[in-house]
Amino acid sequence: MPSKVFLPSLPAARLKIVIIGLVLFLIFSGMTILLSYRHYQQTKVQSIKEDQAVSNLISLVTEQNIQKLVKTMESYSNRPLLIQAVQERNVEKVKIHLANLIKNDPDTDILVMSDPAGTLWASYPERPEVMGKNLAYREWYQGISKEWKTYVSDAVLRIVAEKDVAFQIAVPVKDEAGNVLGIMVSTQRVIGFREMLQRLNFDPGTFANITDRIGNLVYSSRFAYDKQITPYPFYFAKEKAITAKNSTVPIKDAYLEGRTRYLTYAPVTGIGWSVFVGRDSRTILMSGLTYYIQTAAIALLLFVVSTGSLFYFRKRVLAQQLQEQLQAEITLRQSEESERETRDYLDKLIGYANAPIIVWDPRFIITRFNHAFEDLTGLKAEEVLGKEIDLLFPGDRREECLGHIRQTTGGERWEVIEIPILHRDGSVRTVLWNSATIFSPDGKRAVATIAQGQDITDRKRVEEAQVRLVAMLDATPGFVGYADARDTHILYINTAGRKMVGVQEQEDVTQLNIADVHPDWTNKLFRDEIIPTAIRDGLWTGECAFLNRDGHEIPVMMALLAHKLPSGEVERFSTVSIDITDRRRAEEQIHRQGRLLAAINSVFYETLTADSEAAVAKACLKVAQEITDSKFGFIGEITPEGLFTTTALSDPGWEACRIPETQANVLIKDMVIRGIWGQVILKEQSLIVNDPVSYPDRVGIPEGHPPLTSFLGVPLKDQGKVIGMISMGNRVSGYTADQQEDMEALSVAFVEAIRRKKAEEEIKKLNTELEQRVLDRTAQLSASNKELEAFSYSVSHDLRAPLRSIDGFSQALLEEYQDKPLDATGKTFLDRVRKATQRMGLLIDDMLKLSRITQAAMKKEAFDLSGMIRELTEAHQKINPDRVVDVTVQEGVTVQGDPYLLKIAMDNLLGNAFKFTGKEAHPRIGFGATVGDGETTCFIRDNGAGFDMAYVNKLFGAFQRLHTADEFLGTGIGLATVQRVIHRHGGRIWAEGKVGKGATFYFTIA
Amino acid sequence: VKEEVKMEEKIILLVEDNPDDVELTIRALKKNNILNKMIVAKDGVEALDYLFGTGVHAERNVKELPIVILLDLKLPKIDGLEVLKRIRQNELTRLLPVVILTSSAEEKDKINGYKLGANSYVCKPVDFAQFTEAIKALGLYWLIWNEPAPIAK
Repeated sequence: MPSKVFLPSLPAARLKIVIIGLVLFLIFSGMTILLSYRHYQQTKVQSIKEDQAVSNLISLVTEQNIQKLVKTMESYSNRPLLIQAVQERNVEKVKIHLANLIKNDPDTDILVMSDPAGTLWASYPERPEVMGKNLAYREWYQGISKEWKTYVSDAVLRIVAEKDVAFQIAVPVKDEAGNVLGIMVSTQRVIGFREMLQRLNFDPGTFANITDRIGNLVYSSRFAYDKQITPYPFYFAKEKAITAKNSTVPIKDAYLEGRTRYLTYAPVTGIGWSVFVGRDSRTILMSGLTYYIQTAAIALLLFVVSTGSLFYFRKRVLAQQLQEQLQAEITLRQSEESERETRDYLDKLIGYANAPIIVWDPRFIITRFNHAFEDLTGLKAEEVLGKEIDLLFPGDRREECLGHIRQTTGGERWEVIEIPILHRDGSVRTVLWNSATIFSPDGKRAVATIAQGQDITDRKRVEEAQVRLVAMLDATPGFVGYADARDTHILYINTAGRKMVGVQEQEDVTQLNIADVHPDWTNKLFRDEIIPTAIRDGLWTGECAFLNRDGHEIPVMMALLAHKLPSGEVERFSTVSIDITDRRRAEEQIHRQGRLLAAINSVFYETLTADSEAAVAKACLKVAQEITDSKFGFIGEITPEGLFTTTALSDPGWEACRIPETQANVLIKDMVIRGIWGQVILKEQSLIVNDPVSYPDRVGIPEGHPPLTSFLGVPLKDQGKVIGMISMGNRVSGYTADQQEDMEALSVAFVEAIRRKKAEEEIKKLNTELEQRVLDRTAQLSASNKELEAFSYSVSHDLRAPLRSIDGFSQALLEEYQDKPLDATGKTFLDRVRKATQRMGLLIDDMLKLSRITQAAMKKEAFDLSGMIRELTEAHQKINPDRVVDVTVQEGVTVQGDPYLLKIAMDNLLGNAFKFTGKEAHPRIGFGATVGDGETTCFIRDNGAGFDMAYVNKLFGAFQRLHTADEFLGTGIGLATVQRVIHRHGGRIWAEGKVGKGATFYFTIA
Repeated sequence: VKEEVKMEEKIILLVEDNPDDVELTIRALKKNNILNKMIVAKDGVEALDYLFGTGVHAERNVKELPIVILLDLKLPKIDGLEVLKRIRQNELTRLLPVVILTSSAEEKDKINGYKLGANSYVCKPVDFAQFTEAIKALGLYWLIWNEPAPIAK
């Protein structure tokens, strides 16, 4: 028995299914149409029957209705009293009868009585205007007068009131002998009909009509009829119905777009009127619409279900059939007669199977070979049938395959056994086989073996590709691995990955967890970021690290993938990670270089604004400390004497210093070059000492120096010559070649910065000196200019005045004393001439003095100002022996200045003091000095004439005077001279005074 | 004689600190028969005191104005140009004729003098004969020929 039956899927079979489907569809649609038609017919018959019943009913009701009226009227007409009244032509009596009669029917409009000739003579209600009128021409008269029997008229219009449709009933009034005495006529309105018929509920599209004998409408539920006499348009149907002997006839209704209408006719017996009930064919059709739709829907549903089942059962049925047929064939095999039949059957079965099927007999001769097998081997059935089976196997594996074949004869069943099959083109297909051996009925002899295969060559290829892939992964230089997503235990790590995390080649990695191969910080990253991201996005990439068993971390660029099952559950994590140690190192290198460049930049930048060499050195230290992560450091220079002087000590160094700064400042200058740091200068090379305690050249730390744990010293070289050194201390993890390199690079910048600062300071010094000289010179020049100006002004003004006096008074003398001796006036003239001359001489002297002071070379020396004042006052005292002046001089005032110039100034000031105290009874002159604000202020005070502070600004101007010559003599040059001298000494001079209260002149000599 | 009397009513204000110059000016005027009353102010402060009735001249009737002011420039305390400035600033003396009579021939002084409203600028010649001529011309012009501005009474 084959384990699986393959169904034929030929186009013919599909066509069959389609045809069956089509036939089914036709059947169901036919059925639907038939059912619908039948329903329509039934509905039509039903409707017509209904119409006939209705028409008969209407006819009957109409007849009954009219007959009732007729009977009532006839009963009245037979009343002897009426007959008598008619005989007597007693209008009043007749009226009484008529009035009674009219009460019987509300539709009775009017009752009249006429004579046999048709002339009216009584009516109720009364209508005098019609009395005496002959109505023999009216249809009712003609009807009754034929046989003198009760006659119901055709439709007429009422002559009075609304003039609506009505009909008349004429009843003869006869005596006992049968002679006609008169006619009683009732006019009946048709309202009663209408109300009655309206109570009947007709189907929509169904109408009822009642016509009179000539086809005029008495009532219609369809047409307007009641205000005029309207002929019924389908009255002709009556003839048709009578002729056809069928009460119902189809007609074309012009009013309904020519649709067919079924008209049912019924006569109103005894009156000759007709009843027509019409029904629209469409309403019949429409009334069945729901039915049709239902039918169609059911049919459609049935069609879908049946075709669906058809397809559903197709495979099963076919499979079952195949199986049954196969069984049948095997059964048939046992009987010789049916063998051929079975074989054919089997041939087809096997032939149409999708899987390769082969049958061989106990001699291993191929007896069956299906299309699928042809596809598998590329051989045609006719090429292999009857041949030994071994031709199917690849030469080198033939024996092995035949071994499998032989076993089947012994009754063994193959269950997914792999046997290769040779293709015509020489390729070998890998096929999995199932087999069943059929035995003779007695079970002793194998009759045939049927085997069904499954070509797994492609699957095999995929498996091989997987193996290659694993080999590739294993050979990948990066870390490749995957882990179970549920408990994150590792399933696989490639060779490079094992090496990375230090796992042995043979070790079972499944015992490890992801966390075992990562450092703690990345495990946190895994938990917080990597795994959630991978689950969300399917992939996480970024920098991560592995942990080797020896404890070192390997930085990696990692890609972590989350593999999901179709259900969405994450099944596995896989990773590919690349070791980025080298890249990291390169990055760090770049980072370090960047830092170094920034540091050099900052050295140059910061030292630009530094105001001293020490500040530059300090800025350099700060940068060096930052870049080497040091705690403190120093920079120093070699002195010309070969000692070492510290230029700058870092702030942290000072903070750590344990002795007073002033004391330390002395210690760090002019040191003997020795100890650890000394080696840097002595050997002219950088030095790292990370364990200073055991260093051979150590001399111990000096007083105040903080404890040293690590040391880096770099010599500062200027044009190859060591000029000093920079040292860093106490880097936590000690110094390495990296810091040394950085510092050596920086040291060049330091030397450059320090050199630049030195040069700058030199230039600054020169500039300052130059500036001072320029200032001095400018001040001198401006003073000279001012004095020159004053001088020329004075020449033009002050020198002219004495000349004019001389000339003027000489002229006066000439004029007045040409020939007479000089009297007092004449002497005054001469006196004036002399005074003017003297004055001019004084002016010239003062001018010369001033100009000399301005130009004289100045020397500075310390001398006793008090002594000078004393000498000068004594001299003035001598010049004015008649004056008694109280002079007070403060002793011990010494100044730095030019004694010659200061003597001129002091002489002027004292001279003024003597002069302006000249009018004082008790003249006093004092000299003194006060010290304040770092300078000495001297003063000369008198109690003389004083001056008004309003004119203090004029006091020191050349040739300016505050007093007229009458009051005090003077040239106005003295104070200008004093000011000039003081200014040349860089000092200041000012005065305080009050008119009549004396004056004080203050001055400083810088 | 009538003329002299008339002239006597007209006061000349001489502002001059140099007593020699005062003497020589008076002499020159006398020589030219100009016998008007002369008031001498020895510095700028005194001149202003006289004009505005302040200080030593506090009792004076300021309505009696000099017919002309002869003003020296180089004066103690307040100089001539400042005096001129204050004269021109005061409503009372705004229109008074002021003649600058000075030894200075400086251009700067001339410009400033005229700027401040001097009516005339005369440089004192060193030669006494010339000086006398100048004073004579000044006296004749300002005391006789010149018509002063009418002063509101």
